[in-house]
Amino acid sequence: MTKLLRLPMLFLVLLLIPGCWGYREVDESAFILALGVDKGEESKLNLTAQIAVPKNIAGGGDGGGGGGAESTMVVSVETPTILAGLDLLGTFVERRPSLKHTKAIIFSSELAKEGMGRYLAPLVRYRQFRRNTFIVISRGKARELVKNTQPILEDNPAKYIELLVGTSKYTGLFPVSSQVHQFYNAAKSEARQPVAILAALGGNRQNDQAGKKEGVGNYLAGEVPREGGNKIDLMGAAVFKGGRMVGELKGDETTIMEMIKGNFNQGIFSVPDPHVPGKYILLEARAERKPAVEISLEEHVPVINVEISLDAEFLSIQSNIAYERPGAINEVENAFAQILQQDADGLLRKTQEEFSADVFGFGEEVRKKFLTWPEWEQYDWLKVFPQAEVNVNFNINIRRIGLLRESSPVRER
Amino acid sequence: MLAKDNNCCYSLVFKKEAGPISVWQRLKETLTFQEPRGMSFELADTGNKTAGPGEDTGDYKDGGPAQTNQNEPGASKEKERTVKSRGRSRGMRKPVRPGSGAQNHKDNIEKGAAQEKPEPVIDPGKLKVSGHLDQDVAYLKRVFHVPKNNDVVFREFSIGIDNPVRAIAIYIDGMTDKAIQNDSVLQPLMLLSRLRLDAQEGNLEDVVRERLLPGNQVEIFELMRATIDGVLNGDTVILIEGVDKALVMETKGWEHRNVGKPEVEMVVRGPHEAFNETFRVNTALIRKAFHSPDLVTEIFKVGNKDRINCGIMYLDGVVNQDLVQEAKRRIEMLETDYVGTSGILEQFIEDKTYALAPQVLSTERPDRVINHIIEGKVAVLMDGSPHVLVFPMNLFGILQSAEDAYLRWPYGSLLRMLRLVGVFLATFLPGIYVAVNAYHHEMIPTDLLMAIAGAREQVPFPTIVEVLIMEISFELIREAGIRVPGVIGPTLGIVGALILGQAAVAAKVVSPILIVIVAVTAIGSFTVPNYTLAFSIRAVRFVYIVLGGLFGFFGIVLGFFIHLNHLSSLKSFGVPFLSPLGVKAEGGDVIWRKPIWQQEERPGSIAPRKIKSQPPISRRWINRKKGGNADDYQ
Repeated sequence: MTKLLRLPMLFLVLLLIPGCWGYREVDESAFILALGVDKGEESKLNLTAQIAVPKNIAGGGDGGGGGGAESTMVVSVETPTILAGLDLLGTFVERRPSLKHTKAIIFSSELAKEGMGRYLAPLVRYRQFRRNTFIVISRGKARELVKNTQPILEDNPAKYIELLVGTSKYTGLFPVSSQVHQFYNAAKSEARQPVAILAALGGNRQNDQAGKKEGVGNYLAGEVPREGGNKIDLMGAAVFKGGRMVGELKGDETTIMEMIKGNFNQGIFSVPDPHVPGKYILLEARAERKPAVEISLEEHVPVINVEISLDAEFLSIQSNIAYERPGAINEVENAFAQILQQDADGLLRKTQEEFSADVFGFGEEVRKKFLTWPEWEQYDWLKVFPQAEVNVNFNINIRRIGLLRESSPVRER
Repeated sequence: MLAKDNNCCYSLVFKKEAGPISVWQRLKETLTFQEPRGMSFELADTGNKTAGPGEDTGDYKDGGPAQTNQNEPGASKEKERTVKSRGRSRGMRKPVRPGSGAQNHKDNIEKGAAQEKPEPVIDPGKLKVSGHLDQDVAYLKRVFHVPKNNDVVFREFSIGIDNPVRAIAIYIDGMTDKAIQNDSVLQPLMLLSRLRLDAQEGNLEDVVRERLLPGNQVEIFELMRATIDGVLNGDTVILIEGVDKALVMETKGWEHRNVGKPEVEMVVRGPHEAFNETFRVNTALIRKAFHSPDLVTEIFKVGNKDRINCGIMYLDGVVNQDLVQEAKRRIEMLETDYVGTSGILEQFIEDKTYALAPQVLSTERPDRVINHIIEGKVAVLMDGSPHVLVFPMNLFGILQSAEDAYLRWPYGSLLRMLRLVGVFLATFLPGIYVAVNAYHHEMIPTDLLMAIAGAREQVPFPTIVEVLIMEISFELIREAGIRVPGVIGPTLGIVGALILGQAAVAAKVVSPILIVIVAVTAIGSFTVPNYTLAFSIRAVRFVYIVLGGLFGFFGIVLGFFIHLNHLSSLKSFGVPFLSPLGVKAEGGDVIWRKPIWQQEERPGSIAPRKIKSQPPISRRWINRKKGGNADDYQ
């Protein structure tokens, strides 16, 4: 009998030792969907948490639901650190706050400019915290942004965040690689610098600068001329140097950055008509392949040649000129390459001279040229980058002409 | 003396109703104890005398009377052969383990001696037919408790030869075919026997058998045991005055169910025949679909009180003889009063009785049995049991359905994949649900999490209690569904569907998502093609629920690890239960079926004598030059 019992007892002890006693029902947790971090007034930080109200999100069940019931609860506390703030939430939120489903962590640009690395890095160690949480930099108060994460189309703010961030896959107007994992890796890297999504409350149409230069995304977040809809704009990128924010990139510039980094997927571009000023040719461009980066350290400054191949399709030709004909296509391709080139030059000037931050990750290619780690460390790439000569070359192929074989003008009589 | 001859006594005192003391006394009267081995054999000639030195391995324990008379009427020539060889193999016997059975029997003997029953019946396995009709009839009447027992009929008549001889026909009413009895037993013996009989050719019993009884099976036995077995099996036993032998004529003819459709293992394509409760019908169902002289049926009797026919069938030349020996050994050495059905036999002969998984396949489909026999497995049929046991069997064999092989390979493979998914869901889904709900919220998509949390908002129980409530309710419904009388069956559907499905949710006892989980689990468990394996999965599911609730995924993984270890430690007649895993692949038909022409090998794990079942090119019109020679694979 004792022998028979010995083995089960041993197992029981084995099971009890790890102490896996975190049994918590899903309806005993307060799931924080978005976390906003501002500079605090009384304490170091002001932490804003958007907590899901499952019964309102799940909706429908009782029939009476939906309607006016808020799908989230937004609470703020002043706290020295983020995790301490979560504990503080426990004093007035009956369910235990959980970061397991946090979709976005929003820092105000004010805080980011002072440096937010020291708040973020410790979070990575915490097991509840997901490394695929998006990092968003708010151009205003993060608290306001969190408060306004109230989607119209969705019941669930988490879905809203995921879908909204996902739009960059087909616009390229803000960086894709803005998850905590990527941000953290870049922030501690000696070969590149992190970027984050730039966000702001928008929809107020108070924008005089818009329209200066033609383009879909010649704006920063919050400047997009629009009216109605959700209150948050995602547009452009916040550029960091180490853990501190050093500047902002506009939507178009972000697109080029994404192209150089190889993250660009597809987007719509308006190319000025080479023959009829004031009219545009709309192209949808996709990345044909990853950009080819060639680096030479032979010269006194590093020379970096980037070749970006795009595969484009006509969406519309306002002037009705038959650009789809062989030969004529080249003209459009060149015009497109030209405007991209302009944007690229602007972007490089900004990153090299203004921010002196290698947001492109060229350093990782440069690193391959070194045989030993000390040599590479001594080279101090991030210092060298501003002097580097970067040539971006666009290779455009218009391969499809849309559903029309040839445009027939609309008679305006 | 007793202490010395444990094994000998063991065999003698086998039949308890015979009264140990009588045997003991008889022994004293008739034998002088010199050589313990010989003493049981001198009492009655049971074929054991032929024991040759050094024959066989002698693995057999002393069967004693249970094995002595195999020559009952149903037996064929082949069987007589095996009886002989078995008798020989008993020549070298191992001593019975001390302290176990033999010890008990010794105790019994001593007790029996102390009690002194008044009039014990002599063990029929030791008693021969005397030839004195009255004496034999008196003995048989006592054996059958005749004044009390009204089933056995003793029909006296006289054989109408020149000088009539008294004879008696003994049978059990209702178990015999009356027409055969009248036309082929009584009529010829009583009336037609006036036919001219040339000379006194041989003994009377031979004359009767060869000239007078036109039955298809007539056999002559000396031992009382055989006559009793004959009567019990629905044969007509004829005893003749002055003849010290019994004639047993096959007149079986009891009521039985017709061959019907399979009730459990249904298929869309494939034969729609199932075994029924009659042994000979079952063997015929196999034989009629599988015409091979190599298909061998060996018949035994199992059980001490109720001696039921039990046959093992195998394909000689393909089957591994060790397997057959082992199967026979286990069945023959079985000592129990009653083995009623194959379900009971399975429990007796399986390798690990404490295991959760069935190690023997039990099927009601003749075609399935044949497929396994062709692969080199052994089938065990039992009288009165519509299920046939097939072994050795591995997990994947149990998970197969007969239909898999009848469908083209992509469909068959797809079905098996589906079934594996079903098994996985049935085993793990509720456990995983509990674990995820209790510990691993991050694993669920946020939308689903919100749905689960929202639905659970008003449920008063923790998830694990909720899941246990529903799973137990479901098991109750399932069990009730089997036991409920057909007339009130529909009520159960209403109660189950409405009360447990809808009302439980409306009353906020369980969350609607849980109903989905339980339903999917149930459907998954219904895809398990084997009834006994489904039981095992049902049982294990609860373990996983508890583990998931106590320790989350850690518990489930740990449980699975132990489960897997347990499964891999199982053996079915010496063949590892997970056998195609980790060893040579089995003929391309384990989970993923290869096209039928690529399935060239029998399962290697059971070590058949012939591994190839078809040549490399079985479709010989494909390339006559290169292959297609039927001799290639032999």
